[in-house]
Amino acid sequence: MSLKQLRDLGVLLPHEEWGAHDLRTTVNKRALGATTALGVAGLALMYVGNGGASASWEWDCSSASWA
Amino acid sequence: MAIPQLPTSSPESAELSRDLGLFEITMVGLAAMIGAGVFVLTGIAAGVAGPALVMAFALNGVVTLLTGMVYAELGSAIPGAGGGYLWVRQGLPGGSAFMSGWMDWFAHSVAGSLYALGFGAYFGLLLENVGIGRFGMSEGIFAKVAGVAVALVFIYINFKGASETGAIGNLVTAGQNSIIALFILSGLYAILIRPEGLSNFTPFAPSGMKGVLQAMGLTWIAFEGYEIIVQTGEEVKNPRRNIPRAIFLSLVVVVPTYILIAIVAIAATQVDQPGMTSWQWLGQHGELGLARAAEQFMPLGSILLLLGGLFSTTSALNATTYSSTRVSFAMGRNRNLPDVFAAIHPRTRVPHMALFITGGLIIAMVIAAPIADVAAAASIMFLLLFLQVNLASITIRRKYGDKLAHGYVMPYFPWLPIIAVFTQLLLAMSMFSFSPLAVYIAVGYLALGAGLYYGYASRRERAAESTPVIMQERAALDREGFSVLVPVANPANVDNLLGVARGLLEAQHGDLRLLHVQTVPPQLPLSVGRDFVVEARPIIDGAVARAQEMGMDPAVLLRVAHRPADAISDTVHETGANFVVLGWRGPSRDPRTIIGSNIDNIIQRANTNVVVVRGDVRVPARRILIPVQHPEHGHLMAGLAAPLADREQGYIELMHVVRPGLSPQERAQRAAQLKESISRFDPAAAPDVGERRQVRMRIRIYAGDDVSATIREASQDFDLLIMGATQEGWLRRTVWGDTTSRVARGIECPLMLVNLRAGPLQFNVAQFFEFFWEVEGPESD
Repeated sequence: MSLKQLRDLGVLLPHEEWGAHDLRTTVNKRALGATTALGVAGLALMYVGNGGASASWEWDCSSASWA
Repeated sequence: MAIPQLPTSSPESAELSRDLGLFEITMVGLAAMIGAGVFVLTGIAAGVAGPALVMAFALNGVVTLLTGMVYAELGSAIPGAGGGYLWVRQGLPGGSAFMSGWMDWFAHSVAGSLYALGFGAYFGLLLENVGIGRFGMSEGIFAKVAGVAVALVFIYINFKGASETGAIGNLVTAGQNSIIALFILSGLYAILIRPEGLSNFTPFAPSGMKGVLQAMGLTWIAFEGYEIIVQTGEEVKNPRRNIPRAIFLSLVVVVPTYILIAIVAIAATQVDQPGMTSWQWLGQHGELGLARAAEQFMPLGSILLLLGGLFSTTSALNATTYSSTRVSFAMGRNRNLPDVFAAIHPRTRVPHMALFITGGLIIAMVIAAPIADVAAAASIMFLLLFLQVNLASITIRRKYGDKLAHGYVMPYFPWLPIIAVFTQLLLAMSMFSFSPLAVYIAVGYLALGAGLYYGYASRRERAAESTPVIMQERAALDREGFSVLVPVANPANVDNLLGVARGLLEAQHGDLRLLHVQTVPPQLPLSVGRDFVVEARPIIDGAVARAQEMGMDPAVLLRVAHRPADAISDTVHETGANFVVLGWRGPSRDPRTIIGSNIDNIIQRANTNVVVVRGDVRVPARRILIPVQHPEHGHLMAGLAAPLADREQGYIELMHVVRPGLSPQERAQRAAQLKESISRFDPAAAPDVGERRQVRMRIRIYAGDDVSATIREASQDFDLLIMGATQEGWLRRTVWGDTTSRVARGIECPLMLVNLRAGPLQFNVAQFFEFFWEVEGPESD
């Protein structure tokens, strides 16, 4: 869109404000990292776990190994 | 279901009251997203991906979020202004806007076919459940027959102008959302009391990631609809804050809902047939999978799901018939499609031809293709549509990002939209293994659109946007034959320009066309330019008289424009002028331009030979100096200069500057290359330049570290310096520009700068890159 069109739409900033606004967004990197890690882990567990058939949380005491 | 609104020539609702809050517009998004897509496609997708459908929905949520961020950013900065279509129109070059509308039309039409077939399937099951049956027809055939019938019904409803009122629409949305909620809760309860159903998740991904990707592509259509939130911008309180929030809130609700639907459908369904899993059973029932599953665990499950399916498919069919008709109508009115699309029925006041043609497309897809292929084709088109918006967002942020007030700015720009583009492309391509037919249909449709644009729509666009002609004498717009265009504005410069034009015309026996551009300030309409025609007459008449004295009989054109470059470029396109001869006052102080904003614009937009003249050029000239950067281009410049040289006593020197350390052998080699270039000159290969024979030429190799200083010094002994450009497009702007400015600032002899016409492919590629490179400043507004 041209500057003229943006001005006609009433969304163009005044000339003196051009470049004055920060276009960076602060991101909570910890939250993002944690969410991403959880999401990826969840999807990976779903896929690798094959719907639960390949994993078991039972501990076989007699053989001292994961069942 | 999304109802796109294209920008119209008469903007609607310029002063709507801002009544909608965050809750209302979030509901708008949810109503558009949760609907027929998930009802119809879940069973099919389960058959493709298996239990990994859960993963497919989750990943689709992530990909949708990326594009959602783009809509949130652009929608908060430019609310309610046409949405994706407008952003693509301005953010991508060439025919992207046409292709956006073209794909939009197809996507919504094919989606309509999907919902018509879905209705047919649900209606058939309803008749079966109440004991009436399908009148002896198979499930598939009955679905097509009923689908055609319901499509005809809604074509008629749209023709009459009746459409779903807001209140009924809200009722339908509330009803289908309640049914979905009941489905989920019933299913979760069924899982609770029968946890062995969880074993249905093994094997989890029987078709691997390929199946997951196919399911993602297939169900993509169920994840679009939030973009309609942007359309409410003019009616929303605090749009910069609320639009982004509504988009994200709708995704937060929709994605988990779909995941729960998948979990419930897989785990709560029991299958009697030995050896068959629940997901295979769902896939077998296809578009009826969810309805059949609901029979097992949902109170009044079958009837409720069927009613929900019928309501949602008819609602979606109505919306897509309306929206796809409107898209084609807008394209007809914008001259992208034939005028018949823009016809409005005198009685019903609806775009009836657009409606009938669109309806024909919907019905054709209902009849011709199975539902899965139809769904795949629709999803491919929506994926490509959103891909365009993601690309456009990159350009818009770059060009205008610092000039807009954003309510939301997406992080990690431009990487997120780039990732979105690649994933959408990947999903579209993955549909080939699921439905080659859908891909062939999509590719064929795109190719048809490209052909239609370049063969038809682009010309009509140009004709509609070109600067008005208010006077024409002697067929000035005729395209036949060789011609030289001379824009005249300054009477003091006319002799120079006409002298050069005469030299060019003598070699080719062509026509001279004089153009005067009456400029009008940007804030005034072009029509006021007609009031100044009387003032322009002396300039035009003076130029005509001088041309006739020089032995030429010019055609004359008078145009009105906000910028002279627009009128000159339009004239070049319409007449196919071989040369444009322009006057130049000297190097520009504006660092963004090379020669000057007007001349730069003409070179960018008009693919013709541009000759820029500075100083008092006396043609024919006795001594002409031509610096040649690449020896292989020597013949072009020599051929151009030959008609301007005095044949009796004049000569042309081709100079090539080398670094001082070059050996004599290498210098001789360069000279030989130049000589060879001139000797193989073929007039047929360069029809715009004259023959270089009959004029003495000499080749000289100069040594110097500073090329521009060497040229300046050499030019002192010559009557005319002709410099050419050998690079094109954006590269030219950074390389040629510097040399040109440095030379031009120091020389005293008359100067001609020549930009030779590029090949069509080279020119279009250059234009493509310059579109993204150029950043508009306030002076060029």
